[in-house]
Amino acid sequence: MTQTRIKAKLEKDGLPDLDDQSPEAMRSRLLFRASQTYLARTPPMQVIAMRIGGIVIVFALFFVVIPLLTSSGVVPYYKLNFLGKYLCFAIVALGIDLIWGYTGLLSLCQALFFCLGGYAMAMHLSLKEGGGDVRPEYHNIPQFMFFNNLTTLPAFWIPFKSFTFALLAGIALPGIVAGIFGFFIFRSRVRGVYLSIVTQAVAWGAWLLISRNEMLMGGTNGLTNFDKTMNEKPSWIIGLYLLTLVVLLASYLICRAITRSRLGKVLVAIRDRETRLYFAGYQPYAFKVFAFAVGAMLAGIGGMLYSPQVGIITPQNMNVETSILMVIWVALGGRGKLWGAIFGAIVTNVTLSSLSSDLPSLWLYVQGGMFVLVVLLFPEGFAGIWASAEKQIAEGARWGRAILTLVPLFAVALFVLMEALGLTPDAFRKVVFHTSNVDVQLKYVLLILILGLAGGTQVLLNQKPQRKEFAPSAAAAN
Amino acid sequence: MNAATVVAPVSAEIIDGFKSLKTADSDQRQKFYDLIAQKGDARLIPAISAYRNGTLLLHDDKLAIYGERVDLAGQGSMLPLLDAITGDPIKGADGKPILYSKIDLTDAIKSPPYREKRILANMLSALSLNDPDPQKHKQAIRDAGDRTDDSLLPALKTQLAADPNGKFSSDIQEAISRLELLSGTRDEKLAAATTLGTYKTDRSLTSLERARDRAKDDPQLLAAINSSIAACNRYQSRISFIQDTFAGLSLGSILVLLALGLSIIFGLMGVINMAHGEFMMIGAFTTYVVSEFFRAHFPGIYDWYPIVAIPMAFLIAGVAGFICESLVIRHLYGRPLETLLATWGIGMILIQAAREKFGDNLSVRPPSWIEGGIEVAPDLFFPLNRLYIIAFCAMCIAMVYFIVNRTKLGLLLRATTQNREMAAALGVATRRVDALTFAFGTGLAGLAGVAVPMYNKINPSIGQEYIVDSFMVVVVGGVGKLAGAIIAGLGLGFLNKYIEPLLQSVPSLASGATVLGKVIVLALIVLFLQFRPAGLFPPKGRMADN
Repeated sequence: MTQTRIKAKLEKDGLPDLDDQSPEAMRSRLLFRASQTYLARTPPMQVIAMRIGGIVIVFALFFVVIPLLTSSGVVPYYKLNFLGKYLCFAIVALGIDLIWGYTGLLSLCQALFFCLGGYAMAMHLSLKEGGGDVRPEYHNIPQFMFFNNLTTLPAFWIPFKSFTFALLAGIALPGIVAGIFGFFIFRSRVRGVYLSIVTQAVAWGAWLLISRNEMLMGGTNGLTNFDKTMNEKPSWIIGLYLLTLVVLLASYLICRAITRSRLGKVLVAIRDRETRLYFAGYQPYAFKVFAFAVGAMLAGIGGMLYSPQVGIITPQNMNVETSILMVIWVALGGRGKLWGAIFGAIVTNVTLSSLSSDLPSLWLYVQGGMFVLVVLLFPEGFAGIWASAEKQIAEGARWGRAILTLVPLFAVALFVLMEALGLTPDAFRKVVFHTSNVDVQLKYVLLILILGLAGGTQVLLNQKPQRKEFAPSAAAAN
Repeated sequence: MNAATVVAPVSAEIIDGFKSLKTADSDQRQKFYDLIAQKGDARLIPAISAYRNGTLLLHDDKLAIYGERVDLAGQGSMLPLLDAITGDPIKGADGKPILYSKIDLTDAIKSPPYREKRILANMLSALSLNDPDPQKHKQAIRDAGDRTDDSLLPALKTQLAADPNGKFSSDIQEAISRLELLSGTRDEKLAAATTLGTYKTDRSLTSLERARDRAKDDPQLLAAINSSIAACNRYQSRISFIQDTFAGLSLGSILVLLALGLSIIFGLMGVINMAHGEFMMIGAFTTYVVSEFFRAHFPGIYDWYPIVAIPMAFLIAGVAGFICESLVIRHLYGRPLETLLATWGIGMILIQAAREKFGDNLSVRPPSWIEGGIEVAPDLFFPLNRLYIIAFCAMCIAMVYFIVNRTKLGLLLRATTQNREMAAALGVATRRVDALTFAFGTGLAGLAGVAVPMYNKINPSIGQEYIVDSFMVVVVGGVGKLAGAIIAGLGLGFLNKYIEPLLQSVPSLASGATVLGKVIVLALIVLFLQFRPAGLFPPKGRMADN
C-alpha cells in the first residue's frame, strides 16, 4: 500500500495521521486494527439472526412439536420410535465428523464401536427382560442361550446384570478398544487410505468373530426380545426419544467445545498438513488417538440408545457395509460442520428407509449412486448450502437471494420431516397435486428434482469445484 | 479280466435272468445270483445296483435305467432312459431319446429282500474289482480293503497272482494286508502290520488303529502295530504340511493377481479401488456367460471355452474400469479418501446389477481336463484345478512384469508413478496413462475372476470375500511394488492355510478355526505394521517423504 492510500484510509476511518507518532495516536490506531480483526471474525448480525432462527425452529420442532403430535395421535408411535433410532445414528455421525471431518482420518470401523455400546445395553436388557423360557433352569438366562444348550450364565455376562456397569461398559469399552487400537495404528504412522483399509479389516474381523456362536453373544441372530417393557408402554417411546434428543444435544455441545478449543485447532491442522505439525514440535498421534477414542465413545453411546429403541441388535449392525454407510451420512450432511453430520444422518436414514420399502429393487442402486454423486457433485454437503447463504448475507446480499439459495435445503428438510412422521403421501396429494392418486414413483421424482436443485445450486455457487492435480504431498495431506 | 469277455456281448442267459426277476421266487433268484457270480462281469454293475435299489425298469421288454439329469433348452432338467447293460440312450418310436421329467417306477422290477441285498452288495464289490475303467478299478480295490469281512480276499489274491507287477499291484497288496491284519492268522497279522507301516496311507492307518484295539493281549503284535502307526502319523503330518502349502499357494496366487492391480493403481494415482473385487466378479460372470454360450452353441468344443473366456474377462473388466475411471475417478484426483467412498458406491451398484441379472450361486462347469487330480505319492493328492490356477496366475504375473518393465506403457507408467509433474513436463500424457493403467489393473482383477469359478460357486458378492485379504496384501507388500505384492500375497496365502489346521487341532477351537485364523492373521498384520509401517518394501528417497 502506498503512503497516499494509507493516508486516505486513515482519514476515512477518522484516525490520527501516520505522522503523529505520539503514544495516544499509536494506541488508537492499534486498537482500531484489533477491533477490525475481531469484527471480521464475528459474523454480522444478520447471520447471527439466521442461526438463531434456525436453532429456534429445530428446537421447537424436535422438543415440542413432534412429541405433541405423537401424543395427540397425529403421528403413530412407531414413527417416533424410528425417529429416535435416527437420532442415535446422528450421535454416531457426530463422532465420525470429529474423526473424519475435523481430523481427516477416514475410519471404516465406527459400526464396530456402535455395536460395542449396543451389545452392552442389549446384554443388560436381555438379563433383565429376556428370561426366555418357562422352565425354571432356563428362566434367568437370555433366550438364545438355551438354543446353544447353556444352562448357566457365562462369567462375562454376570457384571451386565448391573445397569451402572452396562452403562459404563457401553461408553468405556469403545473408548478403550479405540484407544488401544489407535495407539498402535497411529504410532506407526499408518495414515490416509492405509488407515481406512486397516480399520475396514478390523471391522471385518470383529464381524466374523461376533457372528460365531462360540462368542456367546447370540451368533448371527444377535440379541432380541429384550424390549417387552417398551412395547407395552408408549410413554417409554416418548421418554427414550427425548432422552436420545438430550444426549444428542449434549454430544453436540461437547464436540463443539472440542472443535472450538486449541485442541480442535490441532486436529484441523492434522487434517490439513500433518508434517508441519511435526516440525512445530507436536506429537500428532496422541491427538489422533484422542479424537478416535472420543468418536468411538460417541458411537458407543449411540449404540446404547439404539438397542432399547429397536429391540434387536445383530452382527448385521456392525459389518463393513454399515460402517461405510455411516461415513456417507456425514459426507451428505457436510464434513467439518457438526450440525451437518446430524442433518446428514437423519436425511440419509429417512430417505433410505422409505426407499427400501417403496422401491425395494431400486434402493440399493440409489444407495450406491449416492456414494458416487455426493462425492463427485456435492462435496460440501447440505451444510455447504447454508454456508453459502451465510456468505451471501455477510457480503451484503439481499435476504431474498439467500432464501433462494436455501430453498433446496429447506425442501429436503421438509420432505424428510414429513416422510419421517408418515405425513408425506397425504400432504403431497392434497397440497402439491390436488389429487389423492399419486404414484410412489412420482414422490421420488420430486425428491430427485429437489436433490438435483440442491446439487446444482452448490455447483453454481462454488464455480470451481476442487480439482487439485494429484501430487504425493497432497495424498499425504489427506 | 481277459479280452474275450470285453468283446463278447452279455450272454442272453443273463439278460433273460434279469427279466425273469420280475416274477421269480427266492429259489429262482438264488440261481440267478449264482449264475452272475460265475459268469458276470463289470458291465452288469449298473443293472445290478439298480435292481438292488429297485430302480431297474422293464421298458418294452428291455432292461432300462435312468441316467443322470441333463439340462435341456426349453424342457428344463430331464432324466434320459438308458439301456441297463450298454448304457446307450433308449430311443422311442420317433427315433428320439426317451426323456422323463421325474422318476416313474411303475415298470420297475421289485427290489430284493434285505438279506439278498447284502449278497448283491458283496457281488457288486467283487464285480467292480474287474471294472475295465482304471479309476473305478482302483477305487474298488481300496473299498475292498475297507471291508470288515474277508470275502473278497481270494479274489484280490487271484488278481495279484495274475499280475504281480501291474499298476494296481501295490493297491491290491495293501488291501490284502488290511484284510489280513483284521482277520488273518497271527503270522499273517504280524506280517500285515509291518507291511502297512511301509504304505503309510490314511487307509492303512485306519486299519492299524482298528487292529490295535483288538491286539491288546499280544505284545509282539501290538509293538509292530504301534511302530507302523507312528510311521503312518509321521508321514501323514508331512503330507498335510505339503498340502497346506499347496492350498496356500493357490489361494495366494489369486490374491497376488488381485493385489497387483490394486497396488499398481494405488502407486500411480494414490487411489484405493474399493470396487476392485467387483471387477473380479465381472470377470467371473464373463466366464459364466462364455461357458453358457459354448454349452448352448458349441457343446463339442466346450472344453476350450477358457481360450475365449480369458481374453473376454480381461477386456470386459478392463473396459468397465476405463469407463469408471473416466466418469468418476478422474474427477477425484488428489482426494483419495473420497475416491475410496465413490468406488465403494460403484461396487454396490455393480453387485446389485449382477444380482438382478444373474442371481446367486451359479456354477460354471469346469472343462473336463481340469477335473480330478494327480496323486504324486500315496495320499498326496494335487487337484488339477488348483494346479491350473497356480500356473495361470504365474503366467499373468509374468505378463504384468513384462508389461511394466518392457513395454512403452510400462515405461510411462513407471515414470508417472515416480514423478508425475516431471513426467508431464516431459510430454507424458499422464491422464491417459492413468486411464490405461486403471483399465489394466481392473483387467487383471477380471483375470482373477476367470480362476475363481474353477473351484468355487460364483455369486455377485464374491469379490467381497477376497477384497479385504487383497487390501492386506497391498498394505503388507508396500505401495506400488510388484515384488512386495507377490511376496505378501503368497505369504498371506500360506499363513492363512497354516494357521487354520493348527487351530483345528485344538478341539475347543476347531469349529471356528477358519474365522479365528483370519482374525489372527489380521492381528499379526497390525503387529507387523508396528515394525514396517510402510510395508515390506517401503518407498525410498524423495518418494518416502510423505
